[in-house]
Amino acid sequence: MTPQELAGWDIDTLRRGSTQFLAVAETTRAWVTRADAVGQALAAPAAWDGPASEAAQSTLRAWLAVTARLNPALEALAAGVAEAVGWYAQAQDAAAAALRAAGTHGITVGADGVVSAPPGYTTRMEADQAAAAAERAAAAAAVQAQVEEAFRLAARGDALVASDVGVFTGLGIPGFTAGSDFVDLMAALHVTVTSAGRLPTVPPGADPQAVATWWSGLSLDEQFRLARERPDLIGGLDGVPAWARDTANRILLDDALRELLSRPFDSAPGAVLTSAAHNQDLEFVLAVQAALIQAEASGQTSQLYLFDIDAGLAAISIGDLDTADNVAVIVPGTAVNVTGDMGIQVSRAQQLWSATQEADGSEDVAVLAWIGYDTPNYAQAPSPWNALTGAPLLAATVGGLTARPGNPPRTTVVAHSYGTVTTAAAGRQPGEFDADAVVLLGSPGTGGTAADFENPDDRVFVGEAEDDWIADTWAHGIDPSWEWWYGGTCIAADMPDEDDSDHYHYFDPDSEALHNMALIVQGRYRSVVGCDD
Amino acid sequence: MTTLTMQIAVLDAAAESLAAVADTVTLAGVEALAAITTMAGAVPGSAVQTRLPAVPMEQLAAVVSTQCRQIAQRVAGGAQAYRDMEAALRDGMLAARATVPVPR
Repeated sequence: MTPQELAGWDIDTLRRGSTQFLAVAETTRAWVTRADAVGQALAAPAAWDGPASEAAQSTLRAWLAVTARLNPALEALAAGVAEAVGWYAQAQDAAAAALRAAGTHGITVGADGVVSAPPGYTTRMEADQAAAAAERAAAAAAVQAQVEEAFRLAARGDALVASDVGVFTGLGIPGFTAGSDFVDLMAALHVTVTSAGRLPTVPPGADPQAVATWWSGLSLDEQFRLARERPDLIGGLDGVPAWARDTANRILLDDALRELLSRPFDSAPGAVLTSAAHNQDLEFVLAVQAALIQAEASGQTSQLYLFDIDAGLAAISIGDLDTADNVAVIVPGTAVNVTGDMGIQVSRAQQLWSATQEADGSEDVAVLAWIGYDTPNYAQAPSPWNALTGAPLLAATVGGLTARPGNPPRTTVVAHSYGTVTTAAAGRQPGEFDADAVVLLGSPGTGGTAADFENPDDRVFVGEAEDDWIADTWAHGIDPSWEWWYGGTCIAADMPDEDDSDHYHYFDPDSEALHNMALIVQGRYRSVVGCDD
Repeated sequence: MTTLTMQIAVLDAAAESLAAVADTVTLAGVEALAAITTMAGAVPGSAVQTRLPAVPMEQLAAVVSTQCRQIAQRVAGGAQAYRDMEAALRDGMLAARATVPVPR
């Protein structure tokens, strides 16, 4: 801030704005009182009872608890700004007076507030000149003092404002962004509405849609408590929103890490197996944690959608699965496991997410790096067994993502290699496979044809790079790239460098496959580049 | 007035109140943002310009308002359920009257 800026401050406008701000802050008491009265009316025994009533009342209590923390901070901020206006007005007066005095005496005031005095007294001066020089020097000193006083006064106003803004900082509000919702706000403010009593029972064996319906009937308080107190039940429950699963799974991850690190290493000869299992678990947990950090470094919302240390499964998103318009699930192939490959799968999700933004950033996208089934090792790869056991898990995952009440996302399953076998097996599951589109990359056959997906042929996309020999093995039946036989739509999937056009470069940034995948994920099916284009 | 009718009236009034509060909160967010923008432009270089706009006033109001509106909708849903129940009871009584001779 310069003295010139300070002198030019429009205090009348500032005062008007401050008065308006104060008036807004004062209205908060009235609406909280009104909402509180509603809460009391609803709580009256004869008014309304049953689960819906309890849910509404609990949510209203949460709302009142949030406003009880926010509104005083807002009132304090408005009052602080109003008080600061007084200091700013004095500062502006002082700066303006200093600049006026400087102008009168031909004194320069620099942008940094340093006053440059004209030449001072010398022995060669006449008496009247000497007197004038002394007068200018005194004036310069007075101007300097006034400028410094103006800065001091402004700083007092600044301190008040900064302090009250800091109240919001203390509430964790700066972490609150345009995409945040009420649950985020509750978390930021550490608001929980404690309700005594038992937690709701999680419906056993329910399909994702039924789970989503059950979940949306719970109060926010109950949802929070379930995610935090029963993470083992919620972390992998398809149909529960990603925020709750993420909360639960991060707790599980944290607990596992603490437990594994606190366990003493047993070096006795008989403890070799125990130690090996311990090490495996630790490597698994550390791999998930590293991949999560990697995902978060992308700058996008990242959710730990699945964390199952016993089954060795995990899934991490790039983007918010609860709010994205378009969701993609990447299904991996042979010999992909969490400990060795979670980071690679997250990288693929990042590449796909970035490609969607380059293609069209107008819709929100989330990509799930899903290692949600037991992939086969190389010896097991010729067998469909792992695909058959993984299929219901994939179908439930997709079903859970599309069970979002109100605005389900467009969903695309992007399968690679043996993952295409698993995806096709999911398509053959009884009931509807909820993916809007399927992309099969480097497929060694899927044990059937495109008709298995119950999607039209222009929603089943097949990509095969020129030198992908694995995709030509027919290990699982008809090569999907034989479009006339298999069905579906063949898409361009080569790399610019022919040598790289093999089984492992479909997610590289400059691959045709990645560009096509991005278009498909965003539902721009007609823009996809076909094999013959 | 039946108990159901009274319950419907209570819930209707509650839903209406909450919807009105939601509207007020939204308006408060817009007005607060306008006030901050006005103040920030008046005192360039001050904390009012450099720090105050960092408070996400409008987003906060939007989230608080949206949540309040959702509660209002839940309450309105409760009123509707009672209304449906009342209608079902009325229809049942009318049907009963049609079949049971009314004493003269």
